[in-house]
Amino acid sequence: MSCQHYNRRQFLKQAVVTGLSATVLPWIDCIKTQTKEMQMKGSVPTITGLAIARGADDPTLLVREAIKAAGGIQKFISKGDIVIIKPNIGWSRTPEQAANTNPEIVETVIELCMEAGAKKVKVFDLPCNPTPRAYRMSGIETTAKKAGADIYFMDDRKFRDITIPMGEAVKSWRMYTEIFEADKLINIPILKHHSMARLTMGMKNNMGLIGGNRESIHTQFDQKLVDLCTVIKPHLTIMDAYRVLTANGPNSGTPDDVVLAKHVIVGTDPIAVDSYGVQLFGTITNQPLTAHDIEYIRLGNLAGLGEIDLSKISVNEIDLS
Amino acid sequence: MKVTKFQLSNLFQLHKIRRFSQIVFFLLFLYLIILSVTPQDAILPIDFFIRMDFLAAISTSLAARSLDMIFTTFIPACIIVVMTIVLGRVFCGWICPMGTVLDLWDRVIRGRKKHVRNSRLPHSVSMRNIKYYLLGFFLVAAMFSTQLSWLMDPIPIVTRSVALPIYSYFTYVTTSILAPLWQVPIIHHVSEPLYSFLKAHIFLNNPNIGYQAMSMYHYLIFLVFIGILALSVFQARFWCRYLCPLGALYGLISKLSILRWIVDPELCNACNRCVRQCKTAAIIDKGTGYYVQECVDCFSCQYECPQQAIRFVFQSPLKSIRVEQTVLHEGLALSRRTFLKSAIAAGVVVPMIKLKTSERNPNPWLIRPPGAVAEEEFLDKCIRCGECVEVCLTNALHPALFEADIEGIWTPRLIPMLGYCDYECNACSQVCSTGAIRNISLPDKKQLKIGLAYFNKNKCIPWNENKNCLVCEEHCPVPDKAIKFVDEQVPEQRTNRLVTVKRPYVVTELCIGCGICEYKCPLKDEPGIRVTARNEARHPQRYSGSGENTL
Repeated sequence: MSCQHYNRRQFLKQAVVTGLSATVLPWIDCIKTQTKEMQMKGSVPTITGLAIARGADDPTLLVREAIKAAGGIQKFISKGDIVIIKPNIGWSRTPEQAANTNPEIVETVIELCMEAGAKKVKVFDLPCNPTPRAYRMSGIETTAKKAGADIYFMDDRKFRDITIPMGEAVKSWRMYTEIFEADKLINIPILKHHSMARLTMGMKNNMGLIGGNRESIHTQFDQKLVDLCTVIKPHLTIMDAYRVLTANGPNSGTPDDVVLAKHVIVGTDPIAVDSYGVQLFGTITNQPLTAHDIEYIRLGNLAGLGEIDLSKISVNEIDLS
Repeated sequence: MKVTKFQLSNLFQLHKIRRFSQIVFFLLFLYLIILSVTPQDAILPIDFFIRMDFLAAISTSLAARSLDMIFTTFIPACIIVVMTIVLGRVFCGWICPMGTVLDLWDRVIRGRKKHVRNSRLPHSVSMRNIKYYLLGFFLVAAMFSTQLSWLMDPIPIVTRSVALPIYSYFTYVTTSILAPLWQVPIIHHVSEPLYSFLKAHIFLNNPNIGYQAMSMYHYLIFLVFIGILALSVFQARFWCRYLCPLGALYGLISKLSILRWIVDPELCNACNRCVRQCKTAAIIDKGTGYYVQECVDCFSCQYECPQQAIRFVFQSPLKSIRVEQTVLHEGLALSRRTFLKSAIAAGVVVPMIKLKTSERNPNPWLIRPPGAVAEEEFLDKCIRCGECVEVCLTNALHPALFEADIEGIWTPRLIPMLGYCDYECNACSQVCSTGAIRNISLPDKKQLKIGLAYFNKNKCIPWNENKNCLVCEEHCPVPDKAIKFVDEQVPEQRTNRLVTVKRPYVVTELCIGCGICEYKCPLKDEPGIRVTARNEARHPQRYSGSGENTL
């Protein structure tokens, strides 16, 4: 660069260009600061009951049988669908520690979606621990790739403030917009103990799809979670209760807290799935637990998100033992 | 010509090979910096350049009284010393990343081959001795068990500057340019693949944070680096000529070197071209001699000489005091007098540094990375290369300023409000060259206490606002949970109605001080739970004893 030809005009020109690009470029992304109203895109035929498979040593078999009992995967996934699978990959823990969804169950669900002709299956979560390590240690990164799904880290640019029209405790929250653009959202939570919420299942698993100060959800937790669930509505919930964490949840880390329960629960009604989870957890741990004891399930039922009373719906249990 | 020995210089265009070597080593340096985030993938130890640093080897092993380190960790440095004995300061001219940066920088600010012609200052022979004074100072301070060479050692300087501020800055700027383009039509076909490639392989990033945040101390590191570059305005390689203690050390060793510079008096027409272009001003006026300890073996003089009168030959150093008319100038170097002066300086400065309040009142917020050795030894061993800070995936480690007293500037410090020590990670202990952070296995690290959490009940939501929260308990990675809670009947804030609230407390025996509770606390202004260095395994009694130090 020669300095002799650098005159005032050129200086001004460059100053204007630099200034403009510095101010305009960030504006390309300005839309993300506006609150937006968004709804889940696709829909599935509702099944009124739950389909449960239990007893098999192989989680793959449990999933396949439970889905079959619910009417087959074709009922939920159509050809050419873009499917998002949301497992619980919250923690840097191994599958045996039962803090994350069983990787084999995730793998089987991806395979089923592929068999039903899904165009693309995406898998992601926003872990509490460093993302790469949680993905790796959960085993889901390996199995999801093996099954042919796209597993990736959530992109911080795709979070938007989404209004919650029915919200009572929160009126809007940062959510991951990709879930509103996909055809189907399948929630694959794991049934486990949680000291604050008592249990974490399908509804709580939706917290992996939100951003912002997630920790602050914990105060007035139950109502806030129900508010979020009025917007984030997975089309299908497949609950992993193969290994169940019975204490020191949601992450624990010691095998003493893990019980091999060998259940997989499938349903389209998130409250019903969670209610069954409560009942199952009560049986495993010998506690007199009902779904009404879990405040967020009770509030969710009141908000009209689903059925809490299992006697009112058909529960189709398949024993594979 | 009487000298008919093997002439290295005639075989190749050595100055070009040298430039190539500089670029290769510099790329290797950058590669290792980028790869240090995943050290297991590296073909070399990622601290390879630190290991070539003989000054760091001597000063840390002297200060920490563990000379065996030289022959274990610092084997590459020993190889460099052998090379220096044979060839002279090849490290400075061919390998040193700082030298390469300065050469590139000189070229940027001066254009091609105008090194000395544009100098703002005439070369000063006496100023050249500063580096020997500094070397003497650091070595004597190390003998007094105070390791200060990190202040001026070029390898730690360039490592921490590139690994911390420059790398963070590069990541941030590139992200800010590429990331917003994702919705721009057409362009995003190019920008998005590039962005995801950089994100996956090049960026210093943390998917939870986006990029490593910089603290004020990062900027200070950067300022030192900028300062060194700025000195080049006065003269090419100002740093190497006058200040670099590592160069001084290799210079002293190179006095033994058998590769010698000679001028054929029959061909030389005293045009002074070699003198003008010499990067380190090693050549005496009209090419009548040279300072062997200043020559960095760049071979530019030989390339520039229009008469081709300059040659490099192998000769015994004893014999070569006078070869033809080429006089070998000893210069001052580290004479006995110089050494004595710097020894006195070190003797004066060391007690000033050691006289610190932290002896009796250690800083409770100074949480060291897991595996850090006891504080005194830690300060002697830490060379402030910044690698541990760089590899910290959660961005929990930051360089200290005065938190560890003046002796602890830029030593790594865990700040739980910015990041936490991940339960499944021992990366910092894997990259520490000098053993300031012991190499500990993951199972050991999970047991190792680095601090202790406490609740600030005036802030904590269940204690102060009588609402449920328990985020800290949820995230506690210790299998049995170091945070437990009791159900208590307390009045609700607005209605005074009694409600059951889960109130957390810390179990002292179980807490390892990882800081995830403080990091995840929803109160981002002043967390309801804080972590101090109390109970840290390396000084169990330091913050909780009855005080044997009290008078």
